[in-house]
Amino acid sequence: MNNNNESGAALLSELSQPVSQAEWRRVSAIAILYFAVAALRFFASQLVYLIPPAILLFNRIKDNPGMALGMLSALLLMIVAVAILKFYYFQYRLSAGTVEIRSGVISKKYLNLPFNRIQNIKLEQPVFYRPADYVCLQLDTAGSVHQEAKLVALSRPFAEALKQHILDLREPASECPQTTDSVQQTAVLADSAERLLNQRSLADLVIHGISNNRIWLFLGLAAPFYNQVAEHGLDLLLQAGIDLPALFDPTEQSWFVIGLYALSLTMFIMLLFTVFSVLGSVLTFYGYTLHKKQDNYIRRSGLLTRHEVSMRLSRLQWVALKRDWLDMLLGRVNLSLAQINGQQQVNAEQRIMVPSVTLAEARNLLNDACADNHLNQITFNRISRRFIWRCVLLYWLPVAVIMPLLLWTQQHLLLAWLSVIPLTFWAVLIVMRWYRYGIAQDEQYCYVRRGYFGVDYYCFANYKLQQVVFKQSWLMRRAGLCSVKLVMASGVLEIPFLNDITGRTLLERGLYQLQRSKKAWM
Amino acid sequence: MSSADGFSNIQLPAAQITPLHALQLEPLAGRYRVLRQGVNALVFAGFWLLLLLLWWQPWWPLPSHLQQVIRHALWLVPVLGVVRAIYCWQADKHKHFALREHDISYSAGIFFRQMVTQPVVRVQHIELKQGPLERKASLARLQLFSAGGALHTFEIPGLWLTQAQQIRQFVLQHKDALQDEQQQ
Repeated sequence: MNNNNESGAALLSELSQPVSQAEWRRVSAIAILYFAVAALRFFASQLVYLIPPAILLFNRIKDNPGMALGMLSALLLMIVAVAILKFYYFQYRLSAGTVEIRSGVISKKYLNLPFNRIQNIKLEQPVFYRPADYVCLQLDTAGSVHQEAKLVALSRPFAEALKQHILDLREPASECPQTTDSVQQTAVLADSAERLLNQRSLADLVIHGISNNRIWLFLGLAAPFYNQVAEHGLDLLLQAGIDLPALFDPTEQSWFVIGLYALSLTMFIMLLFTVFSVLGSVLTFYGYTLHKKQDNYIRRSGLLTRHEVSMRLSRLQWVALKRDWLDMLLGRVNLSLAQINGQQQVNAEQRIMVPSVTLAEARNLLNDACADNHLNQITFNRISRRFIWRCVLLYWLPVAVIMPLLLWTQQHLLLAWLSVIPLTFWAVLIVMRWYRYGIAQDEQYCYVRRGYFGVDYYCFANYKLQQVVFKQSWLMRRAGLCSVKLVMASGVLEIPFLNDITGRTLLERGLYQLQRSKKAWM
Repeated sequence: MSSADGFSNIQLPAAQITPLHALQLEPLAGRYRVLRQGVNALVFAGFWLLLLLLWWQPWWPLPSHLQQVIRHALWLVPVLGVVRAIYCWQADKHKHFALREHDISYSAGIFFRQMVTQPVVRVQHIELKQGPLERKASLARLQLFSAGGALHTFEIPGLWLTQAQQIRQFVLQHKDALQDEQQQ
């Protein structure tokens, strides 16, 4: 049933017929080889676990090679059988706008993938497909990290024609803005020049380095070398006439002097860390500019390697304005424009982040990305105080009782008293977490607030929602509370202990906006 | 009022718009619960028999501490099996789904109840899955994938095969799902 050698025209006629008339097809028989190799790879990856017992049983295998050979040939036979069965049960059907795949020997899978949801098409050619020029056609959507659909053995002309057909279906849509009337066309032309939205000076980057300590990353990486660095450092200090161990020896110095030394040493180390952090910030963000050209954001930065990242406005999922406690003191905000976070995972360098902008600049950038947003005026719905009680009773209280008691029974009285400090800090953190949580919604946007001492704001259009979850435990139901989870392509935002009417209204309005607007999420 | 291009905006009485909490939830197929009970019973019975064999076998003398463990496991395993069976029976009773014009909801949970709602227009692709036992019982699992990521795949288990096929068809034929994603 090998039908892969049709011309593009035959394919097109097939792609115009409705599902009911389309025929189920098998891929080329060479797919058996493909499945066999896949099965072999699977067994080979499992073989790693068999190496230790094989070494242990090596002598027995040497004495009885027949049995080992028998087992090996049984394994090979099984691989062949699996490959043939997989090939037999792998069927696909192409019809107007959809590809369907039936697969699986024991566990059956039936996949429907509309062409207009395909984000990425990839042709892959393993070595053994080359002589006969067969290819694997991979079709990805934004649905998950794995390849959603893989047509495993198609002849190249057939695969190319299918790929072109799917791409052609997408073309008219992307050309849509250009085919508008002449007034809009001139507007597009006028807008085609790059417009500078924001740039960062060296002073801004120094502030960013101070408030966003990148040193922890550096310290983590350097952990294996601490000992050598310490020894080397002590030698260097000795040569400079400073004997650290002597300075901190309680037999030679008074406690007060040692305290002063410790304080100045800590300050010195902190200063060193901050300098490193500032250097890191300058290295990454030197010459930072954010431009807008038509609907594209373009970020350029970097001292040694210049990075240029661009993103279409329609790909934007949410705008996050993040401030930690130091940013609050310095009056700065880190603004990031988040896009899809699935299979097209973007690493830190490709993310569009505007480091340490002032509040006014952040507001302007936000207004540019989310026109008519009301983040500054809107009143946030707070979450219930029960959030504090839950955290305290479930986590804080057990630790607060057990830890000092344990220290007390083991005669560490001072430590037992000192444990009050971290416990108090933890309690304050819980209260601050409750204080910061908030959610608000208007006709177009949804706003989420959260944080501890600092505060993060998220702003996104209601129609960017992918899925909503309403959660309620038995106790929450009695108290009229709920948790809501807003799933988007860039991540998940969860608000716990919200009034249940507020929660329901929020989800209902979000769904209504998304279903009513019929706008695409990217 | 409706126009020539098919767009209509007829007034609906407020009572016709069903909010999420007032949805009439539909239960899963009754056979799904029975199947889960069967699988549960088989797994626990198999494990219990294995322990019994280990206890009775004459070839390999068991160390005394292992004997103690097995002796306790022999009564503990059936108890756990029964507890799990009761839990599964109750949990499966609380699994429901509901369809609205533009979204599908699935609710589950005894103490921690949650309802996931998946708008049809955000579905990227659909999978219908059947294990060997589900195939025997004419049951199927329906998975709807959105751009929310693999962790947030919307799944309804224990549907009748025909029911699952109908829902799949409903999603595929939804007028919003068929519109081009790239179009604004």
